[in-house]
Amino acid sequence: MHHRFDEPEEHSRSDAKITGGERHPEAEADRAAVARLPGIATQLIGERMRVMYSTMVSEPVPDELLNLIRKLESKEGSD
Amino acid sequence: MTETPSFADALIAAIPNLRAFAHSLSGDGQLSNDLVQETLLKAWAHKDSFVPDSNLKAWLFTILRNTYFTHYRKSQREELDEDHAAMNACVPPTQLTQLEFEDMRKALMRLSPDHREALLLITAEGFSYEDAARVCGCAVGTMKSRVNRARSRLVDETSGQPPKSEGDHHRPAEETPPIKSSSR
Repeated sequence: MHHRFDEPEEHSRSDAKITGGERHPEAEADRAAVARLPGIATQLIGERMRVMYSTMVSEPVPDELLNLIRKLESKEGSD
Repeated sequence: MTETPSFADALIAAIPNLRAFAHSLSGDGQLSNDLVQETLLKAWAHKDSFVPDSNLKAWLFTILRNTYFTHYRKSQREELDEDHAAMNACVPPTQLTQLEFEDMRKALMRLSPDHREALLLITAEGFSYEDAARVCGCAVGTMKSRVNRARSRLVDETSGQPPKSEGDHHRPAEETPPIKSSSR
């Protein structure tokens, strides 16, 4: 079973109990940041993957593959 | 006046994406060219089964992934070095540093082939879940689940957490979907 990306870590959820349930704005912000992290990580991974992939897409096509199609096409034309 | 591109022109236009997909799936530059070549030959031989105005890219990707998995199963039987796939980067990245590029590639190659292709089709190729499911011959829900698991695993790996065990790392034997044109 997988945890949800937007689910805060266990230790961050127990902070309130340790501090007696008081609400501190900074601690709240920290907890929110922890909760957001996996989502951001997912986004970053997606972006990295797209960059990696587009780099590969922009590679020059080897002549042998282009020639293969042209040969098939001309062979068909001559048949 | 615009002319409808010939089947040959359409194949040529699809080559860059086919190579990127093959390279990302196999992790091997030379193998990816062989896979693309085989895909093009099969597509040409079966072009009569392609429905005009349907999704040529999805059709070609289906042929390519089936060709890859045939090769993959064969290589599994031959017990090839499972790390070979993470090697052979052939093009220097332009926007990611070499280290980031390699890290991403290696992390991707540690995913099971099922999860890898799901993530590639959805995240990198921009296929809809429906089209990606059609390419892989699985249900849309299965495709969504594979993408989520793949993302989760990559997040774990890149955040330094020990990756969860991947139950289906070794792909079970699966029937290869027939080569036929997508309905879209």
